[in-house]
Amino acid sequence: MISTRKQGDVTILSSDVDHLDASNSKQFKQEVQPLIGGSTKLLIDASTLKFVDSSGLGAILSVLRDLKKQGGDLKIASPTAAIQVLFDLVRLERIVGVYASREDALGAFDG
Amino acid sequence: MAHSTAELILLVDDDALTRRSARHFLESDGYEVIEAADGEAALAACAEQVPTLVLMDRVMPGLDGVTALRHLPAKSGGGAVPVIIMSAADEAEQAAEALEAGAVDFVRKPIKRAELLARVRTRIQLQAAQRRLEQRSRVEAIVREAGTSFIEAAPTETDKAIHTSLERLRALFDADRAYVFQFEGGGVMSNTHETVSSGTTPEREHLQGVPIDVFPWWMEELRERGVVHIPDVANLPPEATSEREILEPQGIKSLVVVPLLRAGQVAGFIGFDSVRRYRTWTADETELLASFGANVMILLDRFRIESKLAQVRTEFERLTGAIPQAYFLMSGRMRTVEQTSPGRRKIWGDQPPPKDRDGLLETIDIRDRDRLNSLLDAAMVPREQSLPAVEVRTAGTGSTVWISCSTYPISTDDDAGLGVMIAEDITARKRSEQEVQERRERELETSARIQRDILLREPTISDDLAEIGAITVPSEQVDGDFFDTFQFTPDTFDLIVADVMGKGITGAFWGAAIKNQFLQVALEHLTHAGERLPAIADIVNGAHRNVADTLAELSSFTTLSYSRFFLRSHRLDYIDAGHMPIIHYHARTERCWLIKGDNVPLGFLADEHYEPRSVSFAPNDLFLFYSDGVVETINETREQYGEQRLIASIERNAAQGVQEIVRRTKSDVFAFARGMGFSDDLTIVAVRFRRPLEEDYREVAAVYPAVVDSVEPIRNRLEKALADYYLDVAPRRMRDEIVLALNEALVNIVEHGVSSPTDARLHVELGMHADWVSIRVTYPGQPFDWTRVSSPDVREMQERGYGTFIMNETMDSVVYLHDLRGGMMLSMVKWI
Repeated sequence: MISTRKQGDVTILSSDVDHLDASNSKQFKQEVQPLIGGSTKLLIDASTLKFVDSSGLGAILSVLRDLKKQGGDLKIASPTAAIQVLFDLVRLERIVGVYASREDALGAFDG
Repeated sequence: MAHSTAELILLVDDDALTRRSARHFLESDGYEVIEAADGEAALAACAEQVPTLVLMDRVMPGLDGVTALRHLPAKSGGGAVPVIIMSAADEAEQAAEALEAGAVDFVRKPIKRAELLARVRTRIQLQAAQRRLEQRSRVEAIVREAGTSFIEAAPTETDKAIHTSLERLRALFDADRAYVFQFEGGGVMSNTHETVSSGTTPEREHLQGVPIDVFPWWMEELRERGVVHIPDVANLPPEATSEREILEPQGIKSLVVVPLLRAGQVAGFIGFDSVRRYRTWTADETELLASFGANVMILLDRFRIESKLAQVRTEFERLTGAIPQAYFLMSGRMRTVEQTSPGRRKIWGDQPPPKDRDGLLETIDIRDRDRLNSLLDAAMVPREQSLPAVEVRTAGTGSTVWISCSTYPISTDDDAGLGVMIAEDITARKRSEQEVQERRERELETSARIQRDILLREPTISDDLAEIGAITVPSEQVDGDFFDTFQFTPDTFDLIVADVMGKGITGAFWGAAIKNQFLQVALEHLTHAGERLPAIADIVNGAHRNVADTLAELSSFTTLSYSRFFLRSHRLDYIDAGHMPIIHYHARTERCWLIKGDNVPLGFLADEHYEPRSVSFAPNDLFLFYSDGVVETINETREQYGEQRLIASIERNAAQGVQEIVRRTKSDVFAFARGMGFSDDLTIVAVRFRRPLEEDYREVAAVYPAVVDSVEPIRNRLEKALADYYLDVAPRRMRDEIVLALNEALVNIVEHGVSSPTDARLHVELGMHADWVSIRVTYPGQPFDWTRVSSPDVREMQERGYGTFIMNETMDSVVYLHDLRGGMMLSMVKWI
């Protein structure tokens, strides 16, 4: 359900489906898990996601936790309005950098 | 035949030869003989000592035999001395003359030994038999008379009566000492009564506290044979050495002793000693003595009880003189009033003391007699604890006196049947109890009036399409249940139903005060906010601020349900401060749902913030409010009425008007209680709104399988409906939030809430009003405490638990409701 590509040392991940919720959050975790290793820099390009619920959020937080354990990092780029509603509710920006564009996010990794 | 004393025969004849031969014959047969030569000498001899028999010649110089026998003195015991005439003449005429003159027999001269002795012997034997009968009759007479005198004897005359009888018997037996000994316990006995013949020294003074065991043989005889009969002390058996050593020095020759028996045990004895001569007592005599002993014993026992009574009376007098209670000393197992204490006059005044129980009962009010009688009946029965006192009233025309009566048996060694009744004047206490009762009733009346006039004013509603019905049944102890209604606008209806902790007038005043606070706060808000409707949270929190401190000080609290019905847009906003759930009857589905909030009662926590919740309703839905007294009503098996029965009653009567529903529900509760009484007020308020839905109202309803795959289609469907309806009204973000909350709710339900997921269905209803939206999801599930779910912090990177948080954050009201048939409903409201 996900597509990835590398840009520099950053792995950019985007969803092939438009939602990340209770129906597919487990699958999302399973597919992201192999990408994590060493000091992985992961960027989730959320522009294709029209809907994320608390299960999807849980999956993202699970990935973040695994990354941080291994010295990696996660950033999110281009959330749609609907997703931003969720991120705002849980104040996700307190632990994850969320950026309006992919470029902004990539720039943040370098910084 | 052995004689301790020989029979004395007077031989009268002028012929010395005849005298000599007759004397020889008589003495040879063991008789004692005295002689006289003529009639005069014979009379002189008789005057000195009365013989048993006179043998007299018929023809003598001077006074002849026949003439002389007419002048003989009477025997000591009465009756003539028998005379046998001797005559030489063998003539029938002379014999007849002699017999006619009073002779008992006739002997021919010259005297022949065989004839003489035969005649004398026969006469002596007859004489002895007669004497015995006479003696018996005399003893019998004394014993009988003693018995009579004993019965009649006053207690003070006991000793005298015993003494008199004892002296008569002693004289009859010609004994030298007669005595009564009584055992005293401790192995000693005392000589209590004694009479002696003239010339005999009384011994009583020396015979006090004598050890009983100095007479071991004697005691054994008394126990075994019931008599000690010693004709000759010198002939006592060897085992009676101890007795002989005591008796012989006193010069006692013969004695007889009979026991005094109490309950079959030897308790003393009565005896007669003969010092001057030997004496025997016949079986008849000892038997009569035993009977005399029994009479003496009865008298002594009676005297002992009387003495004990006298002693108790004295003690009673001494103890009760200064005591205000009236003591009744009673005998005969509480039948006879022996004595009363001075305290009696304080209760009964100058009435003479009653003589017996009947007399006592007559002084008692007829309604209370049986109870007192039962107490007296039970008084003497031995028991571990004393009987509870009985409270009775005096009879009569004067002012009633209340008396508390208690009884106590007086224990004596010998169960004399004595008891005491204590009567205490409790009129003052009764009067103050009555005053307290009256005051309580007055207070109750006041609180009832407060409740009726202030707390439970007839609710009204100014809407033709709304109905309200209320009923309150005050319990025996009125408390502060209250309800009130406010209609701030034509389109809203506020209802407060509250239960103030506190009974009687305090509770009622508190109820009135708190009710007034709500009105005050509402008025303030109206003044300050102009025409805007004061929010129910403002009213409740404001009122709570004003009363919380006082409630806390008094350790009191108030449960309360504040409801505001929006009549046009069909929404109920409510604050539940620990009150009973609101029952929401859905007219369309004919099911009842229980609406609960999550706030604590007023006065629990000073800083409690009261949060309103919202649910939607439909035209013709019914809301029922009730106090805990309704569901906590118990029947005779201590079962509670409960929500189940209440809901059943509502569903059964839902087609009726609200007044009728309330009335029938009350009847149902009453029928359940079946006269058990109510310890709490019963308050039931029902409202129903018939106003139709607004024209711009839109609804989406659908049923889906309760599985996670249903979430996305439901989400998409509602998202579209919301977008269509609120496109120009609600910002996109708001719609996104609603969809997110819906999504979280559905996921929670399908993952955790549904009890049987395989065939379970989700009923989803989206209600869209101009200014608010309602989402209801109904599913099979169990009630749970949805108010206790905590909010996770995203920084802890938890994967789960954000759902409830998101719902509460995005929606204005999230409530879980349940019915009692395994149904759950999630109801969410969002203001647009």
